[in-house]
Amino acid sequence: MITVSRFYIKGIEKTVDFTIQNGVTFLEGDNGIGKTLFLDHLANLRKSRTGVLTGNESVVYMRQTFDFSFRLKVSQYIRFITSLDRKQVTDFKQFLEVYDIDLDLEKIMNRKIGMLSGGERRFLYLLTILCIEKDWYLLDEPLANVDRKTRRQMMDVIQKKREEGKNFVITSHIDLDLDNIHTINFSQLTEVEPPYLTEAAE
Amino acid sequence: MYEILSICRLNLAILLKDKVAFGWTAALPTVLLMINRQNISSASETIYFLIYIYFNAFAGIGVYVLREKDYGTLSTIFSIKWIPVQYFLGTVLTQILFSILCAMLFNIALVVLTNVSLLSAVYAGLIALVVCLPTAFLSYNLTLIKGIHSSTMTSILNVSFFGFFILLSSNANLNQFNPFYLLGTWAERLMHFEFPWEAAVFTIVVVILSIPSILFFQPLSVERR
Repeated sequence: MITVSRFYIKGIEKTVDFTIQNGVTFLEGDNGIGKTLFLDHLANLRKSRTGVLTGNESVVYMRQTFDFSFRLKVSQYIRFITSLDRKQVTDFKQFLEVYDIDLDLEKIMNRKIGMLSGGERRFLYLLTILCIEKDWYLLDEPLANVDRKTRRQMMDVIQKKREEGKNFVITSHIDLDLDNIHTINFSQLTEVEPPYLTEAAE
Repeated sequence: MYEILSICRLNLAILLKDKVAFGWTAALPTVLLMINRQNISSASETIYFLIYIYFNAFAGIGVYVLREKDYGTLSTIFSIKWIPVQYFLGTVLTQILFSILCAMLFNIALVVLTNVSLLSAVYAGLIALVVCLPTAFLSYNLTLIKGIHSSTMTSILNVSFFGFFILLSSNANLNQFNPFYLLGTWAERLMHFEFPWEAAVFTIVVVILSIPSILFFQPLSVERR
């Protein structure tokens, strides 16, 4: 469980207080409401001066945009990402087999990342993130620009990971085709007073 | 160590795609060496060329990191694993390997064009590397400046480095503020087995002052979310 305690999100200037249960949590809300900023905080990419986040010690984060050196080859990208988790390309291939993922890796291995289609890039990005062993996976718009078949495969992998006890926080503007998910409507979160105001009142 | 080597391998792959940077660092001193080859009789006379190569590589670290930050590569890496120290060390290691490669090309040209021995050329290169290494730490502090853009810094530094290098060939008083001149003087003293204490103090101070830029590194771009 991740606890967000009187946590100030800079950019949307909002202090929030809620918990994220284990399992799959769907973070919904309109554009610009601060979902990505919040995920940045959960992944420790941004720091807040007020409030406390606990339970987010073992997270890996798929960002909304896949930014990398597009002149590099897919093989170089996979080698690098897997190496961060002390794994090798063979482990990634094994991951594809174990999760029964239909991806012709050999076909794209020598292609430059920039030469992949938007959907192919997104799928590759998600797979490399899911190949990393963590307790929590933060996925920001994983289904954007992805065709129906690939979307189905993505949801299957997420479902299998969930059965292994992994947890997810997912933002999406497309319905998640999953059962038993927690939903947090980010635009309807109750704002709380920042800690320093409460302390001053006391 | 594992992450350092991964970062280094990635950086090298990115750097070697950029042939212009490679050419600019290695070719400019080599061309100037060819023009001045009659005046060169020992490796110590080439120390300023080598300083240019290493300074360009190490002082460019800050700009390189800013550029990768603006591209978004760093937010992708750091969202997978928070490795600020390993990232810095991996980047420094990359620039050490890159600059050694450039210096090797320069030294080959030196040995072919003059009577300088390869051993003394390599020795001069090592001294230049050691003397310039603190600039890697110094330039990393650029990443602490808020709202700075890599493209602006690249232009400013390229013009400055070229200006410093050209200024060396004159006897202008301005050279006392020229980092190439200062580092070259320290390197020359080291080559003659005289220890430049002020260089040691400078190194310690720079390394200590740069620790915050390494530990509190922010990988997110200032240009986009």
